[in-house]
Amino acid sequence: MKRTKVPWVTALLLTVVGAAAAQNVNPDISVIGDVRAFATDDASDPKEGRLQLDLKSVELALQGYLNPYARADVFLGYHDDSFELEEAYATILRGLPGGLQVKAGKYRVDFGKLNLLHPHAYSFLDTPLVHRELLGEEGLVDIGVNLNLQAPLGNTVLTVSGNVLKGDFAEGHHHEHAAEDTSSMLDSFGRGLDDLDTLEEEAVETDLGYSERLGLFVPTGDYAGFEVGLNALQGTLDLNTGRKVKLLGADAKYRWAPDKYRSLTVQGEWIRSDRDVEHAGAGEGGVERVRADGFYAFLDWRFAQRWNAGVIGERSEMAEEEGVSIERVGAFAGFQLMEETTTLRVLLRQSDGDELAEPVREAILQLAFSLGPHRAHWF
Amino acid sequence: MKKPLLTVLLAVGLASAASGEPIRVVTSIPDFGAIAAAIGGADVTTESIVKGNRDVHAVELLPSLMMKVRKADVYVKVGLDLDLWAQQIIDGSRNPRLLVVDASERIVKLEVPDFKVDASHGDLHAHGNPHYWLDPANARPIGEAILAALATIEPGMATTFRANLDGYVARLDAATAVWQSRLAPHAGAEVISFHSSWPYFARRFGITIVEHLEPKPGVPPTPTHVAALTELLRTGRVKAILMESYFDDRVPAMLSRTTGVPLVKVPVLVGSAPGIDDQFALFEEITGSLARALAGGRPAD
Ligand SMILES: [Zn+2]
Repeated sequence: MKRTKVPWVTALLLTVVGAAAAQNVNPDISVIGDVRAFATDDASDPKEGRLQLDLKSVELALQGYLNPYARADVFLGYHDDSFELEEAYATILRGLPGGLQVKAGKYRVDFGKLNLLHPHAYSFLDTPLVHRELLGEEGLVDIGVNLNLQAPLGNTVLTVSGNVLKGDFAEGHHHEHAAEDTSSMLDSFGRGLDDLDTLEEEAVETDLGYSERLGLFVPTGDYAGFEVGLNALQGTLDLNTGRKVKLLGADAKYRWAPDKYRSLTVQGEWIRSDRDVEHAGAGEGGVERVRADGFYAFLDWRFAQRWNAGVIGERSEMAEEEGVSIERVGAFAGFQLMEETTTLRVLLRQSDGDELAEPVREAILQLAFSLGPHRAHWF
Repeated sequence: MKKPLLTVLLAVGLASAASGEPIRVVTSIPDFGAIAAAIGGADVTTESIVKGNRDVHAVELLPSLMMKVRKADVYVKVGLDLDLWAQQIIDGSRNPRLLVVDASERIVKLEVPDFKVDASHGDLHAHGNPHYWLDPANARPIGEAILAALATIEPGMATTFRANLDGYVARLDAATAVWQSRLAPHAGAEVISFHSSWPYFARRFGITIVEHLEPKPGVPPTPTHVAALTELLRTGRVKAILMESYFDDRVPAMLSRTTGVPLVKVPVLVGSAPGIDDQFALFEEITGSLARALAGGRPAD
């Protein structure tokens, strides 16, 4: 079961919408579209120097309360000419002892704070290299159960979270860039935890995975605070060879909103991966443990009601090739046409790396639009 | 650091508080906290999510806010889709025994759209204008909703709470009569406001809001709209530009300078300016500043 095809997604959608309409408790329905224009001077890209257009994603969200204590969230996504079930989960929000929250379904795993955010909402437009390469092209999404405890610790807030995961970490998120004529060094980056599927005949049963997060939020005023977190993940990449993966991460986020119009976000994350890789040079069935790490850090300053600008720096090694890395710096800006319903964003960046003959420059322009109720952003 | 309890009008029978523990009330806006404190006296503690000179429409969902609500007994929200973020704070609090009060329940709503509301109307609220606390007479329906929750938690105190609310409303009514007489000479005066915060206030105090700086609720002033407003202000019909203090005053100040129509920048929440510690001070400030401007005097800045 590699890709979720359109027919059953449509059936599910009609069922959900139909059931909701019948009961007259309609969930909130929202649609977010992400249209892009981009250009690159990457000599290895056949479309070098030409303007390219893409409907990067369209996301349909159905969200609502099951009862006063629980809610369900379903996200269907259109990416690269196919529909897929991005997320579908239920959360028991309150009512459990000790401030426990329980989530079950398919969801974005709380490995760091950025992974929880949908990529169309990134102010810096593109998934950081380290996420693509070490977590998966569209981040770490899996089927699982999450237990999350949050408790005040003096003035601060401590979060302890654990996930039991099905283990096929990025099911349905593998996009076969190799089949496209646009493949370049940069495109081959970003195989994440899902690339091994392509080496096997069909998706091999994977073993359960586990991930944990420890977070500490420290308020620094009524409208400011920072959070630091530690993340870990352990899992099996496939049962046939018993190859394992271990991830370790640390993240920090600071946010400050001096008034109604302005806010500052400074955020960064470092991730290290240790994974078993079948190596051609290691002989039949030979497995080698490869260590890779990377980070990103960005600063985003909303300086007027509708304007923001910032910078991002990132670096990542390839998950399965020892010592091969790419570095990037980018500058971005955003403009909200009307509140948050329509946003224009632009990113200019330069990448350099071990396997790039010379630095690659890219420009990306994004138009993101959203229909439907808008929820406030979580810290 | 606990916020000091607001002083109350009537003496409260301290000894009669059954459990001895004060009822913890968290409110979306400080104005509701002031009313809850007046009803509960020493038997409640209050804390507001929105603090200072801030916009109620947008709040940063810091985890520390959730922890405030974790230990609360009652949450009082504005409702009418103004503080949709309150539901996220309530969920994030994980507090299973929280009593949630929608203070808009008993309000006679104004500006309820009779058409299908969507984002082409800006941040328009489908169930009516949510800025109802800017009519001091709405302290009664807001207070009744809060009273019901407090009396559920401390049934033994219900009579005291009701007497406290009655006393508070009586005192506010008396003050409202003074504020009304202050604005009575300007009955029907045409005013433009920044945001559509004023229908309840305007009805109570007899002024007429003819336009807004925001072309649509939540949408910042556009050059074409400002040009149209300049024309309107130059006719001399409009007597004042009324604005909520949390907005950027550059555009309204420019309009005031170029047209000579006075700008009245006032707080719209308890606690949003020094000395505005309760509803009495808030309405004293708003009606005082507006009356001075309408009388042709220098507006207070
Ligand atoms: Zn409003």
